[in-house]
Amino acid sequence: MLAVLFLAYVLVGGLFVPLKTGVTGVDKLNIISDTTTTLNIDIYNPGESFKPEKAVLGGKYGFVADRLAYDSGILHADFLPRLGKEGPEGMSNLYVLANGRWMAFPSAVSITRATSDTGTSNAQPIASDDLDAHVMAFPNRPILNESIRNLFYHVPMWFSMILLLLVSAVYSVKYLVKPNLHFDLRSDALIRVAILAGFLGCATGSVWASVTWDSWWPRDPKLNGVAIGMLMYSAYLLLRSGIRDDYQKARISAVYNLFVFPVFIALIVIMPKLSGDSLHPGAGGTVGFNQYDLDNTMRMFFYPAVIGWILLFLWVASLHYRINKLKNPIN
Amino acid sequence: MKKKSIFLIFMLFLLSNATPLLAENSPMRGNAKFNVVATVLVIIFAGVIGYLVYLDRKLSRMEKDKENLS
Repeated sequence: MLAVLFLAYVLVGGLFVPLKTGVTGVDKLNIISDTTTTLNIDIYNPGESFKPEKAVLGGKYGFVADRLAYDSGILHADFLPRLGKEGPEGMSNLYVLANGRWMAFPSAVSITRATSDTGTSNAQPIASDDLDAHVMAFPNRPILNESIRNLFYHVPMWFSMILLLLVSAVYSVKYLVKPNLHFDLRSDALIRVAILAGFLGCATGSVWASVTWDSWWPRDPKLNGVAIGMLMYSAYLLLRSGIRDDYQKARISAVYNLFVFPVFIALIVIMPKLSGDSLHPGAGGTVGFNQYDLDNTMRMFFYPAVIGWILLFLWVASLHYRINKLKNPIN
Repeated sequence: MKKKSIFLIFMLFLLSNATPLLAENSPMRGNAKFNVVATVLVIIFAGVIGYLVYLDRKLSRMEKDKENLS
């Protein structure tokens, strides 16, 4: 019941709370230095009182737009970048300051040096670290955009899976301490539902990755670790179905489960951290959730989402356990 | 068996057609990538409800067995 309440709240809030203003696109890929170019910048969810103050192209050094004009979702900014003799060509980030907040669009345009551009550069020093620090503060992240809402639906699948497997491992220990077949049936039901959650996590992650990482199954130690882990748990199901005697089945399953659980955790939590090149946030060296740029609004929905999904899967597992119990009457 | 193989072939067909979804202007990226959130929700609900249906069928089978016994 509580799960339904939590999930209803998360679904409504998670889908309807609007994103903060952000930059979602630029109309040019390449601009030439030493000539004035007007960039038309798409502003997402600008709101009524959108007031652009500054637009900057670059990183540590940047070119500030000479003129800004805003009308209905598009910001027109005139840039006259002079690279000078030594200024590097190449990709520039775009930063927009509006209503006192910075927004970023990484690798917005590439600047090519014009033949006439041999004088001095007009790039101004800009504290880029500072800019990025401001950018981390709001959830309309480049590339992610609206799909950041998947945090409430994809990530809790994995949390649920890990928690269900943990509880299942606890029941396995309980069985080994005191051979009561009820513990075994509980552990079995939890693993089956955990596999469901893991499968959903894989499928939803794959769809999300197709949009943000341009691949259905990107090279990522976390994904491959999960694939191996899921195969190990499938082997658990096969193992069970192969043994006739209930007590033998329960004992072997419990031992296998206790072997597999730490390996699974190692594969999905520790291995990606060690390899250090996972695409997932919080994988390479860092632990914090702040990497997800969870601001307070996101938090308000993320934690209830995790609790809600976990309760839902625990409920499904309890249904499965009750069916198991009916099927294998133990007196 | 036949049903299963038809389903598998259908899934493979879907997958072979899935590559265009990676393209720059794919429908998945519509509404500032909101469509991907919708897809994710559909997958999750399909999965959970599918599992509940599977449990339901298991129960019905057991009920039937019990009736046959008595």
